[in-house]
Amino acid sequence: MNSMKSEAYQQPDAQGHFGPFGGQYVPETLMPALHELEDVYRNLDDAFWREYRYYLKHYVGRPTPIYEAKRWSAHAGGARILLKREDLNHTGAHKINNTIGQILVARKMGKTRIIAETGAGQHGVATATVCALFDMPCVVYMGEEDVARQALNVYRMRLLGAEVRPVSSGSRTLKDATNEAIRDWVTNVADSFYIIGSVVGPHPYPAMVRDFQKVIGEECRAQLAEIAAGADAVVACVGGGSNAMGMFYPFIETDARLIGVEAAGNGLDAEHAASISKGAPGVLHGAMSMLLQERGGQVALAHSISAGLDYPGVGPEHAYLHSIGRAEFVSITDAEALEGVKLISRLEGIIPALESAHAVAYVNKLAPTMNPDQTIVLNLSGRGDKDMNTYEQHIKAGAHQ
Amino acid sequence: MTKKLLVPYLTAGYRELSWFEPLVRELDRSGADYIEIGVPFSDPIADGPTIQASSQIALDNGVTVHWILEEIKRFRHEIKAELIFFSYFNPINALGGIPAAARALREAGFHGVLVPDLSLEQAESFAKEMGAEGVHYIPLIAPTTTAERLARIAPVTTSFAYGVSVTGVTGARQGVARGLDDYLERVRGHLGQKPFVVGFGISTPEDAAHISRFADGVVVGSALVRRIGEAPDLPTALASVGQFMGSLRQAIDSEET
Repeated sequence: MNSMKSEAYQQPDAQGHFGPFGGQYVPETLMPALHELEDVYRNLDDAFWREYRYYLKHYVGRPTPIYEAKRWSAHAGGARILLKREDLNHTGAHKINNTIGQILVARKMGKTRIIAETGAGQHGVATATVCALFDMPCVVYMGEEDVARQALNVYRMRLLGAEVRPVSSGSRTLKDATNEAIRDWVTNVADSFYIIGSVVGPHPYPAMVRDFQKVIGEECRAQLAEIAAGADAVVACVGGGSNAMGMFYPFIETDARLIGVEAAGNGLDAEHAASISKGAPGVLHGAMSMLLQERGGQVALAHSISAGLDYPGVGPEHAYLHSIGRAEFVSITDAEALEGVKLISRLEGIIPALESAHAVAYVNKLAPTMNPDQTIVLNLSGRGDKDMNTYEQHIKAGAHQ
Repeated sequence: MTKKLLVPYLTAGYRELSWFEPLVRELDRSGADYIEIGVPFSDPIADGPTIQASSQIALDNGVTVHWILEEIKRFRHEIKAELIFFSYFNPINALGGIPAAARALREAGFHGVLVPDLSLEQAESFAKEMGAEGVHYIPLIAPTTTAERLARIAPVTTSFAYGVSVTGVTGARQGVARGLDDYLERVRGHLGQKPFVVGFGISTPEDAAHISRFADGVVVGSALVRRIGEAPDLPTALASVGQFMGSLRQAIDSEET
C-alpha cells in the first residue's frame, strides 16, 4: 500500500534535509559548533547508548507501561484504545528522554554550561533536572506569558537550581523564548550547549532529538507484540512534535496510520497553532518547515490554551511525513482539549497534560469510526499536574458532569 | 591603499515610515559607501535589543517588504551609495521564492543582499539565483569561522564580505576592537584582494579607526539606530546621524596611509 515499504526510510540526508524541509538556517557563528555536534552525534558509540539506557531505566523509570483504557474504549464504542504512559516518566512527561541524551552529548563535547527554552515548562524542568543530576549550570528562557500560566513549573526549575529568564519580546511565549536561547547560544557558543526541547532547530537537532525520543515507539512495538496486538492508528499531539516523532518513527515502515494532533486554539478560522494544517513553508529557528506566517513572511502569532503547543512552527520531519502522505495531521480546539481532560480523568483516573489532552480528544472522535478488532495507540505524553490552575479555571469539579 | 568603506545600517520604517527617505538621504550625504537597508523581521535571532526594538516598532508602523522595495525604487536614482538589502531568510523567500526575490531586488536597485540566518551551507543556490539578476550575495564571516570555511567563502565573495566582530548578536559594545587583530589578519589572508568590512558592536570613531586598520571598512548599526531613537524629532535625528557619520568618516579616513 505504501511505496516506502519497499525501500527503507532514511531521513534526513547528509545536509539535514527531509525533502525540502530541515537544513541549517543559522548565523555563521554557530556553524562550526553545529558541525562539531553533528560529528559527535553521528559517532555515538555503544558505551554512550549504554549510559543513556542506564539513566532511562534507573533514573527516568523506563520502560513506561502500555495500558488498555477499557472503560474509555467501551465509552467511545469502537476501536480498542491503548495508552503509552509517558506521563509516568520522572518529571512527568516524555521530555526527559531527550534531555538525558543531550546532556550526555554535552558532557562528551566538554561543554560546561546548558541553555534551554521552554513553553509549558516541561522541557525546562527536564533540563533543570539533568543539570542538577550532572552538576551543570543551567539557564532556561521562558516567555513571560508562559511564566505566568505555568508558575508551578517555574518554581520547580528554580528549586532544581536553574536560572529562569523571562522573555518579554514578541508574543512572550515559546517562539520568543527560543529566539532568546539562540541569541545566548550565539554569544556563548564556546562553552555552552543548547538543549533544544523538540524535533526543531537546525540540523542535526531534529534528527538527534528524534533519536532520543524514538525509545517511545520502540518500546511500544515490543509491548504490542507481547500482548499480540497490532497498531492500526498511532496518535500523538504535535507542537514542535517530539513526542509524536518519537512515537511515529519506529512505526513509519508499518501499516499503522500515523496521526498528529495540532492545536486548533479558538478554531482554525480564528487564532490557532495548527502549523501543518494551516501554515506554509518557511524558515524559523534554523530550519525550513511548515510555519504560520503572514503575507510578507513575518511569523504569525500562534494561540493555544496549552503552552506546550503554542508554537507557530513544527519539526521538519513532520512537514516531510505530511508532504509524502505518510502522516495525517488533524486539529483539536482548546474547548475540545478541556473535554478530553475531563473524559479520561473520570473514565480512567488519569489526569493528562493539556497538550496530551488534544490527542485524547481526537482519539475520542476517531475510536467510534473504527471496529472493536482495531487498535489505537495514543501517546499520553505528559501528566496534568502542571495544568491544575488552568483546569481549576475552566473545568467545574464535581461528582458528575 | 584604497578608500575605507563606511557602511551604515538603518532599520527601515523606524521610527516613522516618513523618516525612511530622509534618513537614507542623510546617510548618503554624510559619506556612506554602502547603506544596509534593514528589513524588519518578527524573529531577528542575530540581533540584540536595540535592533530588535527598532524592528518591532517598524513592524507596528506597518512597514512591509513591498513598501521598502517601492520606496527605494522611487528615490534610488538620487542616492550615490550602493544599497544592501539586509533581511532574514523568511521575508526574502516570501517574495515568491528566491529567483522572484532576486528580480524584485534588482528592479528596486539593490546592489547586494545580506542574510544573517543563511549559512554558507544553504547559500550556494541562493547566491547563484541572486547573482543571475546581478544582486551580490554578501557572505558573513564570524570569529568561529574555520580556515576551511574561509577558503570556501572567498570564491563566493563577488562584492565584499562581512566580518562579524564578536561571537554574539548585534549591539553597541565597549571596547569591541580589542583582540580582533589576529582574527582580521586571518580573514585578510584568505580573502586576498577581496574587500571585507567589519561590523557588530562598533559604537565609536575610535573603534572604527582601529578596525579599519585591519579591514576595508566598518559597519555601524545599533549605535546609529540608538541615535535615531533618542532624537526628539526628525530634524534632530538627521543632525545627530550626520554628525556621527561625519566623525566615523573622519576616523577611518585618517587611518589611511
